Amino acid sequence: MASTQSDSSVLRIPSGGNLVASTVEERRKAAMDALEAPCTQAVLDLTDAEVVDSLGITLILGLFKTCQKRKVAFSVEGANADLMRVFKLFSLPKLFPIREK
Amino acid sequence: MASLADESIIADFVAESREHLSSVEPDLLAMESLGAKVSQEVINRVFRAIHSLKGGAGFFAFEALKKLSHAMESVLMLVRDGKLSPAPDIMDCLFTGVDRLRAMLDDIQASDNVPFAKELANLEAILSGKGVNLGETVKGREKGSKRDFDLDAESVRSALRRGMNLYRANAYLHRDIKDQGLTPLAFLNNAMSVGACLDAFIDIDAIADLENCLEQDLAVTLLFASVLEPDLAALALKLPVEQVKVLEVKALKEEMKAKAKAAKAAEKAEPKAEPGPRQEAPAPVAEEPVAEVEPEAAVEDKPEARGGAAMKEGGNETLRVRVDLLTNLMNLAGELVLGRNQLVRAVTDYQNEIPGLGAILQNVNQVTTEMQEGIMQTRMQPIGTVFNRFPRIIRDMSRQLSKQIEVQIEGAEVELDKSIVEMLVDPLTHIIRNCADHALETPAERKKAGKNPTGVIHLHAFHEGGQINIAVNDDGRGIDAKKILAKALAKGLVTKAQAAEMTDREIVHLVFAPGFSTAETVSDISGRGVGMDVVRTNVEKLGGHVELETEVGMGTTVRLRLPLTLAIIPSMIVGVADHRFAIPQVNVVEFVWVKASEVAQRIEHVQGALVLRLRDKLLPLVRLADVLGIQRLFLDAATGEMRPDRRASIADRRGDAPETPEEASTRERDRRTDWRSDHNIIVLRVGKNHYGVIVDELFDIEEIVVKPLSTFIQGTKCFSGATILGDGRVIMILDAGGLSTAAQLHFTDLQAEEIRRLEEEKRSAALKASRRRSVILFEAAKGERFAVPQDHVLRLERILRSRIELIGDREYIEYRGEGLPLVRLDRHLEVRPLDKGLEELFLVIPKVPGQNSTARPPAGILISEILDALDVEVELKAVEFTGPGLLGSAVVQDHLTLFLDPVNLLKAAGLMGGDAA
Amino acid sequence: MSQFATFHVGARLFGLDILGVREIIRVFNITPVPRSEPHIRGLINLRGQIVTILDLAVRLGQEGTPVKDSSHIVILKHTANASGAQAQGQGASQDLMGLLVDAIGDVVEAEATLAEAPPANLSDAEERFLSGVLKTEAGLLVLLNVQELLSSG
Repeated sequence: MASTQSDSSVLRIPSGGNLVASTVEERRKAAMDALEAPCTQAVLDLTDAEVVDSLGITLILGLFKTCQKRKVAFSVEGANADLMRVFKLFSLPKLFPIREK
Repeated sequence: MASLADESIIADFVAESREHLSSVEPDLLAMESLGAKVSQEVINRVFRAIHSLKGGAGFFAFEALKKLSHAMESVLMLVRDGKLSPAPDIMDCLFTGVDRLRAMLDDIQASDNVPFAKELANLEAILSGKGVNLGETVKGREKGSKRDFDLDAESVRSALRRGMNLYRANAYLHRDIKDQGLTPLAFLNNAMSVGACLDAFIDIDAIADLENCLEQDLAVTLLFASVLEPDLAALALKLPVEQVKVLEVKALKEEMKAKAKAAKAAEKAEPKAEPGPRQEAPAPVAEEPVAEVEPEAAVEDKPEARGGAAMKEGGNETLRVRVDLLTNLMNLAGELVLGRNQLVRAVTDYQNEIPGLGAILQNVNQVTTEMQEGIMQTRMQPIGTVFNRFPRIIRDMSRQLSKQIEVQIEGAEVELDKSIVEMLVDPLTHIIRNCADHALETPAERKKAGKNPTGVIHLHAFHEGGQINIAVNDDGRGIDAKKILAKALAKGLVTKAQAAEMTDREIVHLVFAPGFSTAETVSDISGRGVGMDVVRTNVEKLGGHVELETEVGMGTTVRLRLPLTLAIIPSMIVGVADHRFAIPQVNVVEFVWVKASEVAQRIEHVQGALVLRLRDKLLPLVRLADVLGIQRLFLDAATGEMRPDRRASIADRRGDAPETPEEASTRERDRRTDWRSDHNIIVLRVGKNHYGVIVDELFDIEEIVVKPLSTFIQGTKCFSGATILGDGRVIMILDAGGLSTAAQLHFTDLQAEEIRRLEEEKRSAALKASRRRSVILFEAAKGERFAVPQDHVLRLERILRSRIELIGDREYIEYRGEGLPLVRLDRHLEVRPLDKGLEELFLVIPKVPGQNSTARPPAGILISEILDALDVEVELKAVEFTGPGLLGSAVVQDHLTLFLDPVNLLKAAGLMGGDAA
Repeated sequence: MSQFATFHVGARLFGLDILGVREIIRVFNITPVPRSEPHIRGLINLRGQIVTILDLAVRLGQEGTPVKDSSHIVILKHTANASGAQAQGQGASQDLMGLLVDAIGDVVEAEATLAEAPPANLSDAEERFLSGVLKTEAGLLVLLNVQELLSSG
């Protein structure tokens, strides 16, 4: 997944806090809107997220899937240790790069 | 090829398979007896057991095991699907199949050498009769999902080595995690606490895009390793049972094999020669991370009934632990106890200075004790592990013998030390076989006798008084004492004279005598030249006893009494010189203390051997010091030092020419100057023989932990083990049998002598009995003498006349806090009243037959003076003025004396109410 | 190079490969075993485990010596069962053995392959229990054959 870091084509999607049941719908819409802009790479920034629940993971996977469909490279950044652990145990890093905070 | 595989994994497989087979047998029996009514769950259980055995066999490439279990599995599948009813002939095939499988497991590396062609042919005949061709059934496989696990060969191997099961677990993000109120992290943390997640994946194709993603419920599939059984694993993972499936190791391996095969496509002729060993097999996986693993048709082998089994097993979760680990723990616990004892001793003096120390000590004390007990318990096994094999044995026997036999089991959960359970297998099997073979009648005979044509063998285990009782009861023909006796006489086991004195019970117990067998013909089933004597020997080896109860026509009960554990036994600690020894209490009959003054009367020499007279019996006697070759010590009166006793030992003297009376008298003097002339004798039991052991000192009875002896010491024969006392000292445990052998005791020599003496004593005793009495002599009125037999008197009491109270016309005195009625002889007999002037009187308190000495006496007889207590030889004459309570009169010490019968006297006085009955 | 635990019995220095030594302890409370063979000195309680103590001097055909201040017990890693043909029972792991020696020497490094055959002037009893002789800085080191020492008879 070596992607060129050309600023123009990188879309950063901030998590805007936790990705949990109460926020996912709002974040989903925001992400969909963000993805309207053309880009070659999308980065989900979890720096603000303490907790990601099942729905949050579903959302991340949905995001990944959409990116995949649109041939946009997808990655996640700023995951805290707990989130990293969950991602690793679910083998998500095999699907897309995930960088720890 | 299998020899290259990890031995310990194979050992685990064998152990596990054995367990499977032992659970299969009762289920097969249930299938047979219930026929079509048998629950699906039972069939499924058998099916699963055979299936997992097949899986393991396939994995380790034990071809014979695999083929046979596969055929059995196929038959079971037909039964399960209702295509085949579990008729006896089909069950026969399954039973013999189980036997063959077991034989293969017995020597797994040679399992291919176990013949099974016949069994296989039988099974195949059944199958082909139902149109099933073995070759096809294996192939029905479910196609796996598109992407599968990345197998890390090493972690899989290590998980398997640690006895873990591999699971494919599906967790739905919403349903199984969110809806359960869990975060993914909490879910995973929980999973990691009960096992290991080796890998996980999410099916990419299943993921919906951003637009729809929140409506879907994605599944995460985990490769999960855990020691838990499938049902428990599901429970622990908080997932529905059907979402947790066992990954058959076989399937994994076959995949690996397939890869390897593809690699060297040329050699496909010999599938057996494929690299079987696990060390090699995972390698291809490592090279090709995405292994297409197709779990063996999971729907087929993990049916819903699993849930039922979960309940059953869930209540009794177990781990397999190596015995030496437990033994080590037990040692450490023993050491801890020691440490605790030392600690308690060391700090006891500071209890008052350090507040709370007492409570801490008590706590340490308690926990230590509980821990030791707990560790002991880990070695306990339910007796059911033995009991449960009998229904199968009986089933086979009843078919062979054309008898109808039902086995009932009670108390299978009663636990015994593992080693005892193992050693009980043979004796119990023998007893059970005897029941079926000899004791129970044929259905025709039973009907004729008015019994249910089905005979019952009832096995019952229960606790009683710190011991385990096992009763094997049958409702058969019982044992006819006459027949036993005839046989015993014919075989010369008893003499006619002996037989004449034997009770029926004793006669029946002759079946335990060596060389006794009642079977008319040596049957194929139980008579193999080993009889009940082997049962008795084995049970006694375990420190137990066997007994028999029987009633002709009604049945027989064989009772075994066994200690809970061999590891801890209560023992008496004895001392000889500065040595200490432990004698297991089961061997101790009693303790006899012979006072120095009685030594000469009670200890004597018969044919050169030391003998103790004990209640008309002659008991062989040994000095422990002599048998063990320990130098005896005595206290030198002159110096106050302990010095070696130079007297010849009994062992030395044995075999020498008979000693002269002179020598004997010298020794007699010697003994009187012995520093400890009182003799402490412990009477020990060896089989039916008893003998006495002279020791210097007796200490407490202690619960000791038996430690086995080094092979270096086993040759001494006198010891059965060693133990560590509370103070850390190592002492030897005496073996009563070995000791008597070492002392060369001859029990039979004494019996003739004993009988001779007994008869002599009988004669003289009979002569004296008529006249000899022990009496108490007293006066009532001055000059009037009475005697009362001593065995009619409970007590004599002195009282003051002033303490006598009058209630109505009855006199009472306060005696032990209660009113005791008084009897005056002159009120009931024609004798003079007591002198009125006496201030001090005496009471004769009679002993009421059948009442114990602490019971309240009915009354006291008032007398004026006690004269004497003595033995008299008199002939009682009838008295002219007979009255109630008079035995007669005789002249004692030149005076006419009236002999009283106090009980009758009190009756006449109306003082022997209800409590005299 | 191998390391040898050395110890004195009588005038001689004996050695055992240190890998075969479990531990070395001072002598305490040996419980004698009546009627056992003379070279069985007795039993001790080593932290809850019973250890059978062989009197090395007696085993080698010499006079047994009383326990001195310098006396030690060399607890072996070998168990009697492991070397004998005895079946591996429950007690097998517990059958610990120790050698009573007069004094403990240093640990000596030496090349085991340089060991020479025991001298010919040994008694039969000794020859059986010795595996060789090594010349070391500490002097002539007599190597013991533990297997034989622990075999019964």
